Amino acid sequence: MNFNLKIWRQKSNKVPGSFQSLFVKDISEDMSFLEMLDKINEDLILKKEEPIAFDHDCREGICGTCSLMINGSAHGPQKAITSCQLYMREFQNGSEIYVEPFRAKAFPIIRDLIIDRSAFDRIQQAGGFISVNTGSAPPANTIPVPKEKANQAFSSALCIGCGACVASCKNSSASLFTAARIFHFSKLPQGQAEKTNRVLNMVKQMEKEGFGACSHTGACSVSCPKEISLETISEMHREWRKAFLNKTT
Amino acid sequence: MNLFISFLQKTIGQKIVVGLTGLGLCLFVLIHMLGNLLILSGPEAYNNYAYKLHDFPGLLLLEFGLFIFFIGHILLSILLQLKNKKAKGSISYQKEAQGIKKTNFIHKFILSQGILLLIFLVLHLWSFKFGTYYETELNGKKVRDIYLLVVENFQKPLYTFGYSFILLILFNHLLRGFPASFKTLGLSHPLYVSWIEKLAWFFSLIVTFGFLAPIWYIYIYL
Repeated sequence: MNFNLKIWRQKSNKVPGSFQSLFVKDISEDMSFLEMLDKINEDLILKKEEPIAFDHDCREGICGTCSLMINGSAHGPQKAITSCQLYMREFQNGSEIYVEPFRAKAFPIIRDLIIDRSAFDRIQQAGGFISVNTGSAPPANTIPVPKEKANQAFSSALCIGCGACVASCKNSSASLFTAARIFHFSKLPQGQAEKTNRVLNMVKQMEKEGFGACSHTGACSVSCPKEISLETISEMHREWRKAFLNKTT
Repeated sequence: MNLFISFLQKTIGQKIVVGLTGLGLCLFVLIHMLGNLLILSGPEAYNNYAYKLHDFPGLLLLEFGLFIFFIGHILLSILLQLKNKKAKGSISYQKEAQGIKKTNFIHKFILSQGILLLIFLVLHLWSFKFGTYYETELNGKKVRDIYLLVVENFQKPLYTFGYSFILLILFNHLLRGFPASFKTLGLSHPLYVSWIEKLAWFFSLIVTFGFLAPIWYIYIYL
């Protein structure tokens, strides 16, 4: 397969970037998108040109490191996958493909397609944990958790923090990420004691990082490789409202 | 008071106020639409309704409340939009998402729609509330003949077509804003979220057709 790629190149956040046109040929339809980028990089290195900088790690959709905006869609056109799980057979032979980094003020570009997502780490550090030492894993069912609650907590815990929600949101809102990290804990008995502070602190940090407000368009949920529900945001708003009023009155 | 100011300084707090004022304004447009339907009953019914409404002792207070709702909704929406623009940064994506990840049209231009509705609101008040004062007699009393002014205006194509266009924008604004308000207030739940979406369609259609019916009745039949 052959493709006409337009790849965003930028040396750092301090200098402006632009698209580099690259015509790539002999791409196997069984190659993943990242494997195609690997092949391009090998060719660029052989030609003594600067390879394309892009993030990757597990290459099986569980680490959330790969973060590419492909033809205007976070992680490409398919639903519920990450960029590393996208295969070239999904594209038409000879088509033009735009590859850009996830864009948001809170995600500054480090180089080319690599962005700094440490804003997510700081949100997590603001309260996305249980502060007591829980020790090693206790035997199953020591603390009974209703199946429905366990499922809800698990759905939220699936978040891999890739940033697709921010990238696809017209407001660059991190609401889906923050809500998922809040509900991972607050749906479980162990997360109850710090529930109020958790939602207040994590939302405060989210605002401090400069993310936008949620408009409930649902673009985040549709782009989320783990299909985290938009309802978690509504629940976060409800929890925040209760926590704010309890804490300040 | 301090609690309210502190609440308003938070993004979610601002969103909640936009949602609350939005739902309040939804109630207002519903009542306004029901009142407008009286045009179909003839001049006596409509003028009598307008007279009773203006004779209501708490009207000034209600109008002031309505003004605060409008101002709160508009100013906070603009403030949030500015915040969102800043969060997005200056470079936008080269291509727009297609297929399943494509943004639904109703979510686009929401602030532009709001600004158009604001311009319309000013023109609307200018044309009717502060428009030409005709007088008529109702049960032996001299009252304002608002029916005549409405008929006079909606016999003009510019008014009828212009209002119809604005009502389509209102429809879109309601369809998108009504369920979003519930979600912002945290009143949405997986169990009944689909019912809120259905209610939004029902409410938006009822309000839009309720406003369209009298103006097109005037344009076609009077």
